Amino acid sequence: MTNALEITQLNYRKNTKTILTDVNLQIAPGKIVGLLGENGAGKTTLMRLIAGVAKNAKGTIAVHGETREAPRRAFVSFSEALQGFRPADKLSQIRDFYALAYPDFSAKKYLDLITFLQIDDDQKLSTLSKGTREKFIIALTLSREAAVYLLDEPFNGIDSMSRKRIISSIIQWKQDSATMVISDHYVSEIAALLDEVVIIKDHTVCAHKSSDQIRSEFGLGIEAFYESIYEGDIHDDEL
Amino acid sequence: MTSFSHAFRVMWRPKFRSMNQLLFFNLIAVVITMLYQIWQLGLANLEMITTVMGWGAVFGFVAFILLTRQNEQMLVSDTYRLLPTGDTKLYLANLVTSLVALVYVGVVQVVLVLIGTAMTGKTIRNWFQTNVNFQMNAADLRNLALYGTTTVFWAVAIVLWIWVFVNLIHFGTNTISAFLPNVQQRIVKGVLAVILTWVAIRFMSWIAHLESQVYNHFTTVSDITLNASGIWLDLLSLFVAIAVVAALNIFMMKRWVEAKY
Repeated sequence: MTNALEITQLNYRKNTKTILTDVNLQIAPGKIVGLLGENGAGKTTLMRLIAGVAKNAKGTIAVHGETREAPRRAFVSFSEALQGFRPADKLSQIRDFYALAYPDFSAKKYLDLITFLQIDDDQKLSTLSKGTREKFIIALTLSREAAVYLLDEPFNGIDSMSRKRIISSIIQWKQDSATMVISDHYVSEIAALLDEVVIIKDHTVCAHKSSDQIRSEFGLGIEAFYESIYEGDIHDDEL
Repeated sequence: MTSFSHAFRVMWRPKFRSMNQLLFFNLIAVVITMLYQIWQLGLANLEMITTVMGWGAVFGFVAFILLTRQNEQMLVSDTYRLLPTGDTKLYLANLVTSLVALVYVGVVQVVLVLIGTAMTGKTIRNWFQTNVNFQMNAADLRNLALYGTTTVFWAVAIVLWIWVFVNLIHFGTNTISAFLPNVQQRIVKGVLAVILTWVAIRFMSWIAHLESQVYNHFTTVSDITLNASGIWLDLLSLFVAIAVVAALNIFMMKRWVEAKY
C-alpha cells in the first residue's frame, strides 16, 4: 500500500542556516500523527515543504506517491493563516474562495463545522478574535476532503474549553483513510488523539513511534516521552 | 487540481472588488467636483470633461499602483501558492486578472468621459478641432484605426512590462536573499535598488520619447500615415522581453521563491 507521506533524504537550508537535514519519514494512511519539537525545530518548515510552499529543498517528498508539487498540493489541506484575504472580507467570501479553488471542498462539511464551532460566517475577517480566527482556519482546512491534513499549531489562542471540544471531536471530521499531522504545544491535550508521534530535534526526525510503542517500550506517556528526549533522559541509541 | 479558469476567477474577485471600491470613490470625487462647479459657475457653465478626465487620470494611476501591489502580494501569499495548480498557470492567471481589472477601470473611465461629453463637451470638441485634422479620407481613417490599435497594444505592453519587471526585482531579491546571511542581504538589496532606479529612469525616458513621437504623428501630420515600422519593431521586442522575463519569473517561482508566512 502506498504511504500517505514518504520523505526521503530531505535537506533544507535558508540564509546559510541548516533548518532540516537528512529527514526520512514514512506515514501510513489513516493515522493521526503528532509533530513535536521545540520552537524553531523546523516543524512549520517541514509542513510547508510537504505543502509545496517552501522551496529549494533537496530530497524527495511524496504524498500518496505523488512527488510533483502541484498535484501533491491537491492531496494536502494545510492550515494557512488567511494572509491572502483582506481584513474587510466576509468569512462567506473566503468560503466561496475555497469552494472555487479546491475541487475537494465540501460545502456540507463546512456548514457542519462552522455550526459545531459556533462561527457566524457573515462576519468580517477583521472582527474575529484570535481564537475565532483559528477556529475558522480549522473549519476551512477540515472542510476539504483531503488525503493529508497538515494542522500547524491549530489551537493557538483558542480557549481551553473550545480546544478540548475540538480535539475530542477532530476524528469525526476526517475520513478513515485520511492522514492528519498536527504540530502543537498542547501535547498533553492532543496526546489521546495521536496514533503516532514524530519528534524533530537537531534539525532532523529523531524519533517516530506509535503511541502504543511509547507506552510499551518506554513506559511513558507521549508528553513525558517527548520531554525525556529533549532533556536527554532518552538517548538517540535507545530510539 | 485547480483549472486555469478557476484560478482566474479566484484571483479576479479580490481585484474586481478593489477596483469597484476605487471607482466608487472616483465617482464621489467627480460628483463633489461637479456640485462645486455648479455652485461656483452655475449650471450653464458646467464643464465636466476636464473634471472626469482629471479624476480619471488620478484614479487610473492609483488603480495601477494597487494592482501592482496585489500582483506582488498574491504571488508570495500562502493563500494562492497553496492552490493545487502549476506555478505557470498561477503566474499567468495573476498577470491576466490584473490586466483585465485595469482594462475594466479604463472602460469605466471611457464611459464616464462619454457621459461627460454628452453632458458638456465643449472643451474636448475644441481640442479636437484645434489639434486633429478632420479632413480625412478612407485611408486616413484606416490609419487612424491602426494608430488606435497600436496605442492600445503599446499601453498593454508597457503595463505588462512594468509588472513583470517589478516581479523580476522582487523574485530576484527574494532568490538571492535565500542564499545569503542577513548582512550580505542588505548589501545586495542596496545594489539592486541602484540598478532598479537606473533601469526605471532609462525606461521612463524611452517611454517619454516614444510618447512624443506618437503625439507628433497624431497632431502635426495632416496625412496620417503610420510610417513607423520602428514603433512596431519596438513593440514586438517589448513583447518578447515580457515573455522572457515572465518565463524567468516563473522559473524562480518554481525553484526558489517561497510564500511568506
